[in-house]
Amino acid sequence: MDINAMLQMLHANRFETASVLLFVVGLAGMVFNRNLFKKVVSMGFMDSAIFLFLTSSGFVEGRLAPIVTNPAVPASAEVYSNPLPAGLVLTGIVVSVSFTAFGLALTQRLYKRYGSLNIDEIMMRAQKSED
Amino acid sequence: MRLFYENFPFFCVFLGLLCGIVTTLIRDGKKARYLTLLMLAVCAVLSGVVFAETARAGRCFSYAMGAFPAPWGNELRSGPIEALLSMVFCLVMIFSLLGGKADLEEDILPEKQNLYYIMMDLLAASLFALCFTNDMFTGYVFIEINTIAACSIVMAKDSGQTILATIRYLIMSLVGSGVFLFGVSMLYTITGHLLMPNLLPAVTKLFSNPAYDYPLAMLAGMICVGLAVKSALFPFHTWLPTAHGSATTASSAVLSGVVLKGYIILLIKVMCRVFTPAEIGSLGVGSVLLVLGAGAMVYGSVWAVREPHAKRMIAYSSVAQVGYIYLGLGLCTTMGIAAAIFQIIAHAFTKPLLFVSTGGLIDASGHQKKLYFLRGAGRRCPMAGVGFTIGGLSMVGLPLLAGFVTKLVLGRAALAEGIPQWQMIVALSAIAISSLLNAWYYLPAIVQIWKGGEADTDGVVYSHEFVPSLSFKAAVVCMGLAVILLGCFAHPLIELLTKSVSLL
Amino acid sequence: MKTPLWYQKLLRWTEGDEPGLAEPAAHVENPPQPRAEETPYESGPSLLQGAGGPINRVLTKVFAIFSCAVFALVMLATVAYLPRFGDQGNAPVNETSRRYIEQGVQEVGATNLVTNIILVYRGFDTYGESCVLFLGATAVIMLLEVDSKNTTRRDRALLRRGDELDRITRNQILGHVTRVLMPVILLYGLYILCNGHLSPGGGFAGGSILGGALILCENAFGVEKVRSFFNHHVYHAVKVGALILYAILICYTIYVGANGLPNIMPLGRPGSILSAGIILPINVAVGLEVACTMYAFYTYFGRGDL
Repeated sequence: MDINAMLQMLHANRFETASVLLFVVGLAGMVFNRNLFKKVVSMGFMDSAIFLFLTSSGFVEGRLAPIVTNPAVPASAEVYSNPLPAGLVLTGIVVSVSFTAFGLALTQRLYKRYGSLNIDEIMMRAQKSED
Repeated sequence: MRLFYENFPFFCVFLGLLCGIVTTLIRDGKKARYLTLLMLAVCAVLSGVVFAETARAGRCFSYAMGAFPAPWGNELRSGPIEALLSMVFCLVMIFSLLGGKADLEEDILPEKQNLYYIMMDLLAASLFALCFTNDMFTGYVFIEINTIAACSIVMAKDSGQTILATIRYLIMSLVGSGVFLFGVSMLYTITGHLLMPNLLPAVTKLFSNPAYDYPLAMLAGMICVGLAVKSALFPFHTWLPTAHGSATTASSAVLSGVVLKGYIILLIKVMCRVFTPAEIGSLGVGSVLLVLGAGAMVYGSVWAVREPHAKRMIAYSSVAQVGYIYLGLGLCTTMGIAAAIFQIIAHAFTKPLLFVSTGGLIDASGHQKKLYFLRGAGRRCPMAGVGFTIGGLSMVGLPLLAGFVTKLVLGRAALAEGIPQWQMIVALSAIAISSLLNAWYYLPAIVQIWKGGEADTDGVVYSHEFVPSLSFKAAVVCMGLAVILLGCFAHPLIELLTKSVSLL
Repeated sequence: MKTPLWYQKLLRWTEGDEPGLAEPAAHVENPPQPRAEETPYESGPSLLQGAGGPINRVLTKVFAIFSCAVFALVMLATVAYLPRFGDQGNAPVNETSRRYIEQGVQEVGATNLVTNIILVYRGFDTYGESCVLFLGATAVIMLLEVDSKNTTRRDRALLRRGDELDRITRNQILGHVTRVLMPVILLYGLYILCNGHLSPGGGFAGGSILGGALILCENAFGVEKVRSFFNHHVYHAVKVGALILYAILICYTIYVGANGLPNIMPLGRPGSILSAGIILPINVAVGLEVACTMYAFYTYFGRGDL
């Protein structure tokens, strides 16, 4: 695939492109940022990027949201877009909320105890108090 | 009409979940412990029945979770290997909880002990689900349950060290599950399926289309890396030594013996049921796993050699032992996978044995955690000393113990026909170097605990009183016996595993 | 013969940063003190100053940027190979989604097809998900519930003083506005909760609105008022009751479906409020659990107690 075709595909898949970039930003924040609070926020960032990716895989051009308006008439698969990714995203969001709460609770305890949010600093202080 | 025992995997998962929920109402730690142990025992029996039936008939079955079969609804699936592993996990968790009881009651506040057992129940449930699942997204959800529960049992001790270890563990785990979920999303985007029986033909079809080579390699890599981060494969192992080394004894035993393995089982399922081992090999992912596994075997052992802290030393040894599993998987052959599964079982008994007996030795040396202070601890508490000796010798690879069989089977798998020469050389040299290094740190430790006299503590007097409880003795005896039995009578088990890999 | 220097160095290194087995330790650890109260650091000087050095920090940054850029490029290349966005011939538009759309209403009974999937077709996943929420709340309680390890006497005094201040300076406007808004918010939450099978919404969305209502209530009228109807016992009873109800419903569906037994839950007429078998009761159970969890997150972070 040459570079022009690639750029064209990236433009056509713009939601996926955006989600990939956001994913990398979130991942970088989690791995390289030293501030615990920002690490937890980056986690939310990364998860949202994945949800964007999943949602965009469910979209079909010109089809409606998967809620049947008239249940008396049998629904046609040509009318509604794919409902499965929406369900997966719903599951993912709840998981992400629980993890954010857990991560923030840990951060709060560490801040109370060591008076810092920087993980290097906390590690040094923990080492000091262990010795 | 469905055979009744086919319901048992589903019963196991929901028993674990329900026990966890009901335990919220039980404020008494003791009752919560009995409930957890009872649940684990029942689940061990149920999985044992499934194992016996499927192994006898040489079959596997899938179980639709609801009225809707494979491409529409969730499914569980079990063959002999899944059932055997879930039974082993139950037993190991029971022994770890029994063996770590004394430390647990000391480390965790009485009013929060029931919360600890909630975590244990849900951990067990998620492990069953990871063993039996037939669905990638169910795998993801239960990975997350496993992660929260595992992080919580690390922090249950509630000291600064453990909370710090927990947040490092949490962040790394979340990176792993994020990468894994992205891989699964990509898999869904290009195949349109989430259930393994439908993924296999879809992926095989995509392999014939060269346009999909790149995305397939990428997503296989992401799924493998995501699971590897969570199971602490070198170089993603940085969180492991602190988390396993600082938690309370029962948690360390469960984490290293069982939790790491849950993710690896899911990885094996992905290798065998979504892709085929040959496809994973042709994508190059197998070679990467093999090299990283070999690296882990050497690197983990080297750091264990220089670690003065007894529990952290054993934790570094876990890094090396996880490397053995990945080495077997990286060969991408039936024998290699069978060897990896045998190593999962062997390590699931050996490492908790080491952690539990080290907990006893530390208690018998006035709660001093450095190896130096454990001098003579084996004489003060012979039961723990014998357990540590058996576990250590098994890790070194003394014949008639489980660790020796692992090295033997792995070596045989690496020498089999069809393995590229460089892979063979890497695997064999990694096994040799790692065994030597294991001997280098386990043998002095064993000598140290049996040496006469007490460590020189510059005049500070520690209480050395430690009366091992009945449950501690039972746990050490059972796990020690398991290690010896696995070493002496491994042959039929390995034959069964090799035969059943095709049923995965 | 003299031992080479590198060998001595290696030997020393293998014994760790501190002497291990070979020689007695230079110093002795303090005897362990059981349950020492946490001593928070009082904004001491940063230990990080001078650590690492500027070159090291720049190197780390360069490495971080470089590796992220490489990873981003690799991922972008993957996206270029993925099928075109919104195309009708894409892989996810297959027999799976066809059955969800065409037969979902007849088989399961809800006109909101997403609800069909998350609560019935893939109900096991969603039960796992509500267990994640339950676990998250339990983990937060484990960490933040006031006990002798994580709270000093000074913290408790501060908390009491905060409550006292809160009572004195309570905002009158907030109270009045809340009194007007509360019925509307509750009605809205309940509507979303009970219409999950007919329109967008359901247990998770409705439950978070109800949880938000509880949080607003605490802010406007004080914690005592909320405690009068929502204390520990109510919290645990509602949460455990909801999860067990959910478990019973989902276990029944799974067991009956997997063993080919007849399902006696009536599906009703699609589109009416009392329809779709287990979906409505499950939505109510999930809503209660989510409301409890949201409120628990809020209050445990703030005061470490319900």
